[in-house]
Amino acid sequence: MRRFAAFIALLLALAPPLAAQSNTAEMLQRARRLYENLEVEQALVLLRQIISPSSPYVVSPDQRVEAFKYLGASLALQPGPAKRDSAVTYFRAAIERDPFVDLDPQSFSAAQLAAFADARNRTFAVALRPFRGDTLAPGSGQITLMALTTHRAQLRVEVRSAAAAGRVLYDGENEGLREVRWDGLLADGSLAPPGRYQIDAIGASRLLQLTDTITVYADVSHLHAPLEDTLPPLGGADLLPEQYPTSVATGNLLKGLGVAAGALLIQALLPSGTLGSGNALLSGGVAGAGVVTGFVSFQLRQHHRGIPANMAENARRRAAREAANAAIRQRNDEKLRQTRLVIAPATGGAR
Amino acid sequence: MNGRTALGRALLAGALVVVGSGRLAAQLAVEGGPLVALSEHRVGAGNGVEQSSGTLIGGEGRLLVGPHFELFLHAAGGKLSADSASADDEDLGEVLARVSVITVPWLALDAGVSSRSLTTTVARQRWSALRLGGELRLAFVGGGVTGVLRGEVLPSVTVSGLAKPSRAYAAGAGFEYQIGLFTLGLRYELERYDFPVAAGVARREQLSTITAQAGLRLGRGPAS
Repeated sequence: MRRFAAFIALLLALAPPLAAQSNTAEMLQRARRLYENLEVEQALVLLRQIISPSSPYVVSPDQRVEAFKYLGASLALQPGPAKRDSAVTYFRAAIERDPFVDLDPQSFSAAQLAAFADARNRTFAVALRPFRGDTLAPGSGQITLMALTTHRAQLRVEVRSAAAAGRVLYDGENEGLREVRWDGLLADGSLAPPGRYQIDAIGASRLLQLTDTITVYADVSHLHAPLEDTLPPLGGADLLPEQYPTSVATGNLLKGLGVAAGALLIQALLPSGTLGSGNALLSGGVAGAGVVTGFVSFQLRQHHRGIPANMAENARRRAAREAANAAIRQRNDEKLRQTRLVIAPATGGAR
Repeated sequence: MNGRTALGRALLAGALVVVGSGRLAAQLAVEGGPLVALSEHRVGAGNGVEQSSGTLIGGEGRLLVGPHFELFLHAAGGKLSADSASADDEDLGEVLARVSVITVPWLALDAGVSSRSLTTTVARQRWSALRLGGELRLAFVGGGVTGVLRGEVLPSVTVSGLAKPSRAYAAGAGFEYQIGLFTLGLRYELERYDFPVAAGVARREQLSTITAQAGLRLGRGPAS
């Protein structure tokens, strides 16, 4: 019940503007009917009411353009240069508001078409019609942009973004409508990176000393399967030490000397006093070997600190990581090769 | 039916033996080779020190079972010549078997038995002993060299013709080198036997030996 009441309140709130617009539309329809019945004066009265600042009704931009167009067309039907000038003025007002406005040659007379052409020649505007977003497979699809100059002009249409090099889509003479296509590639042939792009149409009139620029925006995004992360670089914890610490050499020396000392101590301390100490020649042989082993090992470890087995294992781990990353990159490249570009119209400036 | 069951059991047992022996073989290593030793025997029995020395030859072998168990066998013999006037020439022959448990890579605990005969022109003396000990193994980095310090007590020794020693122990120090399949060993050992006083004489005996041994190692890599 409460919801129903809220719905009724909403309808009541929206009712006046809707009614006002429908009144304007109704007036426009009546004016067009009068014009088609050649009741031009009565049509003019209605059309002037629509464009009047004191009109009590809301007039949308399209309705205003339509009113100006029919005002021009009505006045162009009336004799006299003053009426024709007024017709041109109203046509220009329509063109300035919507450069895409046009007269159907099947529905309007030659005099009206001539006055409209005159208005176009005196008014310079460049326009880009909002495009339809699309999803493109690179190298095959295109989006179509409708560009327009109201009369003969030098026209340049280019797409660019803050992050990527742009691309000129058209640069040449133009009069009237022109289809400009973009396949989603940049000047260097690469796929447009994701981001916001602006498409500029810049015109320089060949009849008037005027230039005009219009910009529309497009959001580009990439559509592909999720990419895999490559393996992080191997850290200290992932690798084995490749060199013995310097303390190892000292440790080897001490071990050698320790065994040598052990042999001498056994010979000196273990025997019974009545038998005399052991044969020093025998223990000395091992003690000498211990000293030599300790010093040779010390020297070897001082000058050859590398640990070949660990180096080989680390090389194997690095190679395994590289191989894994190469495979991941290959899979990612394959996914990126199948990337589809999503180009959608956007409002506002560059992000 | 019973015959089939028995056959199946036999096949299963055979398969287990084959699989088990394959696994065991992967855990085994054998090393061994000849040895040459220089020994000195001293005896103090109230008549001064009787001293004899000589060269022994023989062989040693070691069976390594996994990383924790070892079986060590030693046999050597030779002639010791008298170095003192009161000593006699004697023939020495000995065998030793020892089982070791490697608790950590640097420490082995072992138990073994040994038998030795000392033969002179007039008599033969037989020694047998139970040996309990431990061995400190100091691996030099790289694993090619191991320093060894060992100590043993001989809690039960019998000597023919003599009372049991009241105290007997042994100690040694040495090195083991491994170069590829080849092993080299050098060690010094001393055994001391203190006999109880008899007729006012405290008999002492001591055998010290330096042994050089060379051999081959087959099987899994060196114990870590």
